Amino acid sequence: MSETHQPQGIHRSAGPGAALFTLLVLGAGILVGRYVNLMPPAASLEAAMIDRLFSIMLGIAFAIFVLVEGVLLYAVLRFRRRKGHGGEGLPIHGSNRLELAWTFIPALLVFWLSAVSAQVIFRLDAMPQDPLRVRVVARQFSWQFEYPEHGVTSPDLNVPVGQPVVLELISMDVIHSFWVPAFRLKEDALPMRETRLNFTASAVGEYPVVCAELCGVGHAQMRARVVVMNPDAFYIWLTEDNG
Amino acid sequence: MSTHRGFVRHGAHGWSDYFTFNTDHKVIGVQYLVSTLLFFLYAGLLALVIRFELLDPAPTLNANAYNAAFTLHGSVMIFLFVIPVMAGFANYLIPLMIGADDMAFPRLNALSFWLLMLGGLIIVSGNFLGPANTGWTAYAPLSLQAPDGQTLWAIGVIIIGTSSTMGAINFLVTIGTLRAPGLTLLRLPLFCWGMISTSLMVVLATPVLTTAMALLVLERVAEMTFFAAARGGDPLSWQNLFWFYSHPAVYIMILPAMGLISEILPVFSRKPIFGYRAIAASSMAIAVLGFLVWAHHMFTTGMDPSVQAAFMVTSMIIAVPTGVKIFNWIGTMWGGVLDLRTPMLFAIGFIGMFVIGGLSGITLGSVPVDTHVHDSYYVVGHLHYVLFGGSVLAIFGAFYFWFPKITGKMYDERLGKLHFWLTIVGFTLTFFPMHWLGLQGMPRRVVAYAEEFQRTNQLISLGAFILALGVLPFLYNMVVSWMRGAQASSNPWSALTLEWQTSSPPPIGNFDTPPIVTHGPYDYGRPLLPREAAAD
Repeated sequence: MSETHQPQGIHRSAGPGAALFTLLVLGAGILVGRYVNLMPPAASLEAAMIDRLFSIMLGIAFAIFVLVEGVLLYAVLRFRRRKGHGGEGLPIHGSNRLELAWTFIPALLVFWLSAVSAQVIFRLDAMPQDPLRVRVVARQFSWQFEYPEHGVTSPDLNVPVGQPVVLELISMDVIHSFWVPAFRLKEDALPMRETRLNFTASAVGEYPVVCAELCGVGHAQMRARVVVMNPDAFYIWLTEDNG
Repeated sequence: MSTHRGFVRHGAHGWSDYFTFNTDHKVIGVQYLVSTLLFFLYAGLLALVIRFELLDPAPTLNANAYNAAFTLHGSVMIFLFVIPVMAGFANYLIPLMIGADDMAFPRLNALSFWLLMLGGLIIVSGNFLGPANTGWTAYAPLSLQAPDGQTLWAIGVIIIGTSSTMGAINFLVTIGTLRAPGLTLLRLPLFCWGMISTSLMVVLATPVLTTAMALLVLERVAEMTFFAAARGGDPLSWQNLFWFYSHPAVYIMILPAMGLISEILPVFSRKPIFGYRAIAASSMAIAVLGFLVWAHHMFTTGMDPSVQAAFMVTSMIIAVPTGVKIFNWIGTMWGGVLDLRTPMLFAIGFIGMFVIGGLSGITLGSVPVDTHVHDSYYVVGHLHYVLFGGSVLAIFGAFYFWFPKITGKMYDERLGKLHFWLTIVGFTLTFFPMHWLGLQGMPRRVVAYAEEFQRTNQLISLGAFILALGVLPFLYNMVVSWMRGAQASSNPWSALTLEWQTSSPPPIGNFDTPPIVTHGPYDYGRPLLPREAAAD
């Protein structure tokens, strides 16, 4: 790059510097998308789908971040006013080619991201075969889990690993929101209107259930656990210990 | 107009005129700017209360007090600072920028300001009745259970909404009818385009908010039924009505800020704005698209997947006109001679921070990702990147940029830079780690949280204290420079828009001779040398 006091035209070919920067942008995006994991351990099949989608978006977002912040910083360093230089910039009012490019490329990108996301939406919504049905009753400020086919009620959500579960959520008072961060899933519990959430737990263990919708003075304490068990242990619990 | 009619005055002859029902747009502008800044300080102190509480995972404050603190923090920041401070800039600047002597409806203008004060007073006085504690979103049926302050809160919002609507009509009519000869629509400063698109949104969306608030008040005090499911109402109706206004409100808060940035960048780049038409058109596109995305706040309410997908697509498309602006601003800087004074630093900071908010916004638009992070700290991080990293940085930049025009004095550049750097550092420490907290599973609006999140929360609180510290040099600078600053010339930045073509501060009536416009607002830059012209 030539360092003169007169700024150069916007269409001037940037050469190897620009090529290197493009590589940096793409490389940063790919590396972050592949190797950076900001999520807690995943414990459902749905989490795997959502994490993959988030990683793609994170990679793309990081590439755009590096691109924009890089160009911005470079512009600040290269075009800042030097001492004793009181001149004006170039009278460039725009460039149709560039503006079309930075309209249509992002548009294609968001349509593609929408399409990829939409696939996941419909897969998450698909009703599973032979699910275990659990009724989730939310109230200020507790969760209650009912297994209607077995007449069992529990303060924690116990589920077998690997078997699809359908939660039917209802609130007895205000709006609550059932969130299991390890499952990446959340669904509101509404008064007088049932909502549904499907998942299949994929890792044995205990995970927090939190209320995500402000529901009053005890909102922060409205917590429970999901206990993902081996199917044998689960059915023993369901038929013998029953809460 | 007579200058002495009791409480009704026109123009500032002394400091006491600022406390009257004054019909001068510059007085009203200053009234708005100063009083909204006071609300900003109040809401900022509430944010410090929140960050103090979250230093420790166990509750320190009473949970109701904490819930009231973030409710008031959000409500005051949005309804009494970010939205009306833009009305302050618009009031002061629009008549000057278009070469008019005042707004189209000066008395309506004064009425909007005093209604804003009344509404603000009512909201804040709710503190003494048992404050609203249901978040600025006031979801029913929780907001039906809340103490009496919630009723005052809703009444206050109705009055503020009315004030906002009056202001918007005034801006539209003023820009529509009072432009100087030669000032065609495509020669309008981009801040005016920002206010046109914003005002259209205000006029169309605010009545829906005030209606929702009126229904809430009626349900609370007259036991009518709209939202309580147990009595046959529908709580999701509240959310639909609320977000039909409040998502457009996001753009109501950012479009004027984008306009402010579009004024500052070309002046300190000494270059024409890059892609004037695209920036103006993208504001209008955002104003239209902004009405088609509200249900993305409701993805977890049991919505049909096809409806989710539709609102996801519209939400993501908004990134396109937003991106156009960002690229055009960088294009404006490219090839310029950048003068890195305080307003320019804030404008560059705006671009750098707002991009992050835009990118996290795309991830939130994606329904499956939103299913995980909705109502978590990820959203708190995102919204502050857009509202603070976006709107508030632009507001700070604008305070410095037009300070010489409004006060006739120069501000202190070194204090301005100190303010900028403390803000950027404090801001990043505060809001960036919130994304991680949300992804890891910390919900928003909680007085207590899991112990594993304590370290990160302490870092965030440290950031917030730095951010607050940064406000001190700003206030000191504004107050002391106004009292004792060096005299400012009429046009210290060699800017081309009309407000700089009259004295600082401008006289009552703005221009001694009515201006005639013969060029665009951003015709900066030296003429192209023949060689460069050929290359272009």
